[in-house]
Amino acid sequence: MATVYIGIDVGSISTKGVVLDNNFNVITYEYLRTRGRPVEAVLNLIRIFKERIGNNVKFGGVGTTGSGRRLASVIVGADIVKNEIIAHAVAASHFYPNCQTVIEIGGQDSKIIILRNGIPVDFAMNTVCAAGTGSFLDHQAQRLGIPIEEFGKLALKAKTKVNIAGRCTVFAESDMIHKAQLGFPIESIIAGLCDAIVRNYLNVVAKGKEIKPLILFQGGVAANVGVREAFKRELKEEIIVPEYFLVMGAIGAAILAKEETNGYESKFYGFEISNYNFETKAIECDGCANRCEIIHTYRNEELIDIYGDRCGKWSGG
Amino acid sequence: MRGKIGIIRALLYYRYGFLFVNFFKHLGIEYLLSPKTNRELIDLGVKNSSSEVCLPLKVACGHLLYLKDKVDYLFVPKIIYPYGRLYTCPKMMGLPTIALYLCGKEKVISPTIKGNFFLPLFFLGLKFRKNPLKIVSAYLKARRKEEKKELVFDNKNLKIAIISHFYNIYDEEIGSFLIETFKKEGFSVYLKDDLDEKILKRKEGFAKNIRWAFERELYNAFKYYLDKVDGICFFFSFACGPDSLIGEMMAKEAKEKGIPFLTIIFDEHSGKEGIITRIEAFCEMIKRKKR
Repeated sequence: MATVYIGIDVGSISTKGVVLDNNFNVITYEYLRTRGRPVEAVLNLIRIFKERIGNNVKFGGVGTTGSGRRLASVIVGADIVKNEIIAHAVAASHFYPNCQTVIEIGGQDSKIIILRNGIPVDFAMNTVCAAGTGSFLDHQAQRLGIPIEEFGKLALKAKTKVNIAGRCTVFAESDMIHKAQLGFPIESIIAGLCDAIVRNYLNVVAKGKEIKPLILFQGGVAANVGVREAFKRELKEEIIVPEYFLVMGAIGAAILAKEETNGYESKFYGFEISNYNFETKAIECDGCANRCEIIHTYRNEELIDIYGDRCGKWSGG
Repeated sequence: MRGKIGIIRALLYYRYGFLFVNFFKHLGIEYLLSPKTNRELIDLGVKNSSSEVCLPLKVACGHLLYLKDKVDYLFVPKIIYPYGRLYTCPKMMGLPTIALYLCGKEKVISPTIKGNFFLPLFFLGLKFRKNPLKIVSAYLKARRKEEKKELVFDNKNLKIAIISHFYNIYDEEIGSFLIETFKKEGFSVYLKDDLDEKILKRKEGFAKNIRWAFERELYNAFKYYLDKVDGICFFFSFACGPDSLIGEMMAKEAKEKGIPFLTIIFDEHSGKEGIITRIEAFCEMIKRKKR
C-alpha cells in the first residue's frame, strides 16, 4: 500500500489540494473556487481525491495552509497547520533548491519571500490593501467580458502601452475606463494594467527587498502571461513559473506534514469525511466588552471545535 | 476645587500613570481610572476623532469620552517634553486641546509639563488642597518607582525584541497579543521598557540626532538588543510619522547586521489574524535559520 501525503491550501478565492507520494512527486492536484464556502470546498477536494486515488492508500500526513487553514485542519484532522509564507517557501526550495526569490500573487494577497541557501530569510506581505492581486484582475476581466484565461494573452498583443495608475484598484479602474474612452485599444489598456500591477508589487510589497535570481513566480496570477512578461521586463531577469504554480502552497503543506508525522500515524480522519455534514455557528459572547465572535464547528451535529474567544472561556485554553 | 478626577488609561499613562494616580491617591483626591482598552472604547474613539490621526490617539479619545460623564474633572497633562528638551509627539501635545472639544472646557485640567513634573503638579494640588507640605509629600511618595530587574539573556529559548512604544505594546487591545503570540512560538520576549533608563536615554551615535524623546528610546533599545537577540519586531501605528522614520533606519541597520527584522504596522482596520500569520512566519523563519 502506497503512502500519500495531502496538502490543502484554503485561500480567499480558491481552494487548492494536492496528493504527494513518498518522494514528493505530485500524484494528483485540484484547484477549486472557494466561493465563500471553505467547508464545502475542502469536502469537494476530499471527494475528488477519493475518486481519483481510491481507498487503497496509507495516509502519511495531512497539512493545511492558507487563510482558511485552521478551519480546514479541524475538518480533515490535519497533522500540521502552517502559514502560507513558510508553505510557499518550502515548496519553492524543494523544486528549485537554488531559488532566492519567490513572488507569490494570489486571490487577495501578494507576498515576496527571500530565500538564501534554501532557507527563508525575509518576507513581506501586502497589508490592508489588495490592489494588484488576483481578485482585481478577475473583476476587470469580468467587467470587460474577457475570460480570465485570455486576459494575459491579450496584453501580449498590445502594440502601444498605456500608463495605468496601479496604487489603488478604484483609481486603476477609473483610469482604465478613462483611457478606453480616449480611444485606446483594449489590448493596450490590459498591457498597461499588467505593468501597473507589477509596479505596485515592486514598490509596495517588495519595497527594499533584494531580488536575486532564481526568481519563481507562483500563485494564481502566475497564470497570466501579461504579468509574467511585465515582471521580466521590469526585473530584467528570467522569471520561472513552476509546473505546479497553482498549488505550491498545498505542496508545501504536504511536505511539512511529512516532516511533522515523520513516519508516525497521521491524525487524518480519512476520505469518509466527505460524506459527513459539517456546520459552523457563530455567536457573539457578551461576557465582556470585547464581544468576541465564537465559532462552533459541528460534525454530524457533534461539536468538534470552538474558536475565537480571547479569554479561553469557551475554548478552555 | 472639589470632585472626582478622571485619568485615561491610554498614551502616557503607560509611562507616567503610576505618578499621576499615586499623587491623587496620596492627596486623598477621589479619582477614576478608565478601564483597560476594549473594542467598545476603540469604536467610541474612532467615531469621535479625526480619521487622520493614529490609533493610539483615537483610543485616548475613546477613554476621554468614557470618563466624560462619570467624573467632574479630566486630568490631561500637556507634556511638551518629558525630560532633556526631547519632545513628545505633536499629537500628544495636542491631546488636551482635543479633550477641550470632546468634553467641554470646564472639565479639562491640563497642567503644562516641560521636563519638570513637580511644579505643575504642585500648583494643581494647591487647587484641591490647602497644605503645601502635604502636596510635596504626596508627590515624593508617588514618585517612588519600582526597581527594574536586571535583564538576563538565557540561551535556552530563541530571543525576540519587540521595539514599540509603551502605549502600543502594553495596551491589551492594541499590542499585548504580540507578546503572547511570540511566547506561544517558544520565544523569550524582550521589550523596550524592560531596559534601564540609562540605556534608553543614551546620546551616542545616531541617537543624538533624534529629538523625539520616545523615538530616541526606541532607537537606543534597538541598538542595545541588536547583537543580543535572534530577531527584532518593530510594531507601530499607521500614521505615526516619527516611528516610520526611525523604522527605516532600524530596518537598514538590522539588514546590514543580518538580523531578521519584522515591521508590523497596525490601525483599526488591521485584523489580528493577519498580524499573527506574519509573526508565525517570522518565528518559523528564525527557527529554520537556526537549524
